[in-house]
Amino acid sequence: MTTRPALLALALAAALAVPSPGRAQSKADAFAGRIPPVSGQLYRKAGRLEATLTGNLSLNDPFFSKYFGGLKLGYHFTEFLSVSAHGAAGPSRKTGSTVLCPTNEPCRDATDIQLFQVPGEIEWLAGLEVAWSPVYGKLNVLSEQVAHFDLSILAGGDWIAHREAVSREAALAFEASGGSPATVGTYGGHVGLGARVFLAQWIALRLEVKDYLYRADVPNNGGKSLQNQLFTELGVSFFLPGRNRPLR
Amino acid sequence: MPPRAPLRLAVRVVLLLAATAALASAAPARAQLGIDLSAPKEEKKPAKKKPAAKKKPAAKKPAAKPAPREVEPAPAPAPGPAPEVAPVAPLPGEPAEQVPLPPPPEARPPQRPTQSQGITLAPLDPAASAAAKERLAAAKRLLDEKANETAALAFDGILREPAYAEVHEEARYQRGKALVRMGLLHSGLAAFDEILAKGPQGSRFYHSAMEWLFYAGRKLTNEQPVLARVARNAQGGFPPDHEDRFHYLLAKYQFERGRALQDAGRAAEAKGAFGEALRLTSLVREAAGGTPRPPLSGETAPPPGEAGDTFAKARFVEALVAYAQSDDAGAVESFKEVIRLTNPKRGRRADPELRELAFQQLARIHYQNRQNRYAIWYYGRMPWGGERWLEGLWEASWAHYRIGDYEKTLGNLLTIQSPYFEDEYFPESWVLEAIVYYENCRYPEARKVLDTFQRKYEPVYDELARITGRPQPPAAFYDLVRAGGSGTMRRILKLALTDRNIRALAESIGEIESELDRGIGERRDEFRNSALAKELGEKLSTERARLVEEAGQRARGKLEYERDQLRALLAQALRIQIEVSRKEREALEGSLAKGSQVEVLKDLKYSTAVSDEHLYWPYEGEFWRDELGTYSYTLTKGCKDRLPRSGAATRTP
Repeated sequence: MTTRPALLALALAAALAVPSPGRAQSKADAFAGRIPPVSGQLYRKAGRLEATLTGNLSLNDPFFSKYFGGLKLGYHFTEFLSVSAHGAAGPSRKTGSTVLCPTNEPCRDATDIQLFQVPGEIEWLAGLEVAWSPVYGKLNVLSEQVAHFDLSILAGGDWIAHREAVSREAALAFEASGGSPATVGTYGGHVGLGARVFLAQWIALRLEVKDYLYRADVPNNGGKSLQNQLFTELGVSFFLPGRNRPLR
Repeated sequence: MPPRAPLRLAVRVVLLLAATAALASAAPARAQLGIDLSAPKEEKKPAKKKPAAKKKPAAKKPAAKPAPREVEPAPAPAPGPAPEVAPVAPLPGEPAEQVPLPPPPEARPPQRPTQSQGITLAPLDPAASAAAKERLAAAKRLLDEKANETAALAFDGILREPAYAEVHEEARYQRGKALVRMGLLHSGLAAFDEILAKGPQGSRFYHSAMEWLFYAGRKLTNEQPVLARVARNAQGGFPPDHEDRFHYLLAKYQFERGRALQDAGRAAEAKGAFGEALRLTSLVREAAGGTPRPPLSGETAPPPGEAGDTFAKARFVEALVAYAQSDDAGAVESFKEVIRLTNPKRGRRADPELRELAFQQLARIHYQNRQNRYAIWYYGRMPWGGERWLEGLWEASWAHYRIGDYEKTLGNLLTIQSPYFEDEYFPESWVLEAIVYYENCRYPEARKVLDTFQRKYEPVYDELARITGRPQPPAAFYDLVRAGGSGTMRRILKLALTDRNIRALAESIGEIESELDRGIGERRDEFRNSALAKELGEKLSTERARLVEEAGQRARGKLEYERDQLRALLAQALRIQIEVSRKEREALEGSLAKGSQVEVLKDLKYSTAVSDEHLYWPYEGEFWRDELGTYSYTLTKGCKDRLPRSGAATRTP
């Protein structure tokens, strides 16, 4: 399988696109600057709305695995630039790594009291995002099929609702009362990389990896600390209108 | 339409291409060159005198001044007293100033008492002479200090003072230099024209002016202005540094003259001109263009005129002459020599454009001689994305068609008709596409292509007929071409500008306009309002009007030619359409007679397998820049019974 990027992105895109250097150097350069890399582009986004159903999975949190479902609505101003609003919510589960192994005692799962004291249990999030998609390319799949894709750089601001991390004393009190810490919200942001694989002019698969950053109060860790939650997002996009806008 | 019709078309195309081939590199602009077909005897003179002219510099070498120079000195007429005014120091890249020596009395041209030159028969006034020399020295100091604008005005002031007639000749020369240094190249060339017109015996500065002609010419976008002047002053000798280029330019001129004579039906005289062209090309030494000149200080790269391999160019002219004289084998050998010389591995001065052109000419000659596979090979050697690449791809389509490689023919046409090249004008590509579909019994496709062709090009033909039919001055045609149009008309008008002669003229016109508007118009008031600026403005305007007139005439000729070609193509399309209808009717009649549908198509065996060096990408309607020229159409269905092709289209070994 090889890829052929249409436009050069930053180092990031270059690393992902895996261009075939021989052709790019010797052939494409002859027309470089004189004619665009692609003409009659099959999958165009400019002037179209994109609605995406997403499934999100957290990757790097040692205490909680988040399984979110979400919706993203975006508008593409050009082939390269789009904005979108998104929201996602879902359950969190203890990760397999929340196991304590005290000295001279058998290992056991972390208790609720202990988990009340750690951050990262995000309950839902919503935000706005700007995406820059400098790369449009196609993949030759086993010399039989062609898959068109684009690559994007994403950045945005978010409102992140998460369960408050409390001190040991408060956790004990919650345990005694059978309650749980409150949900609190905070501003945050995210950066990430995204890719679309176009199945047709009206539908595409999306894959994004995003790092959500926000500040949360962790009493057992000396107060506010920067949280960093890595999410991977898989989605199915539907474009409206269902066909490319005609070129002007 | 009889099946032979498309083949006849192919033959016509070959002839057309071959004719274009001959003109391709040697941009003629005959009127600009002032080719004089009525005076063949005049042309023979330089041929006899050349050896003598060539020996002169060698004979005078010891007499050359030992001043630091990049160049061998021009032949000095005779030793004389040392000049009283110091020479101007050359800037990097400029010809070093040849300190002119006063000509011996016997060589001095008869003094003509023309007021315009400020020459009088009055005895020289010693006081005036001293003042003149002082003024000249002061002006030269300004030039030395790079105050070129002020220096130009100062030299012009001297020229307008009749009392300073003694130094007018040098002032005229220095004024030309100052103008060139100011970037007013055409103005400078016009100034040097005044010196060159007097000939080597008439002006001490003839050879220096000639050197500056070549120097300024290197900075122009095309060599036509220099070529025209070289041709005009061919008998006056040449600057030793530019000997090879001088011979090459003259050879090119003689080739063009030969072609013009040939076109006029004067074969004997044409043969003489071709012979002279060959003689001149043989004088270009192999060392010319042998090694790249390192950029001088202040230069990032050698100037355009300095680029290229003069020796290889001379071999190219030699090949063109051979071709013009129907010596195809000789032409092939010379073109191959050009290719060998321009091989980047040879370490000679790079000339990729000439190399591309040589490949194209070789391909055309082979195509013309029905050696289609050789033609395809040579077309394939034209560098991808080069200036003539698309033209080569189009011509190769015919060669592929001839050997029955319909897939590649249609693939090439896909590139040509892609949105990338929508500004290019290849109407015949639609006809060829229809022919291929017709020959493969793909009648609906053929009909669709023809419909598209007619829909696109019938209005174009009407418009061309309207434009060329109404009486207009030539300048109006040039203005029309330069203004461009919209849609397909834009393509045609652009096509007119791709004619090398028209393009060269348009470039020169653009340079002159720029010189008038910015070069002179944006200078400070002292210069802009000076008598010199006014005089230059008048000269440039006259020159511009002359070039516009010539470009307009050529544009008109080109548009008329395209109109006639398009008319022929539309007629051709109509014939194919009738033939398609006939075949469809036959199939229908067959079906009726048989009582069931008669199938004219059968499935063809095909494979998308490619070599290890390639990758198969199915075409889905999207064009990728790096795929251009690599398309191959997969014919999945073809004639059940192959239509007979004429012998002309059968495969050649």
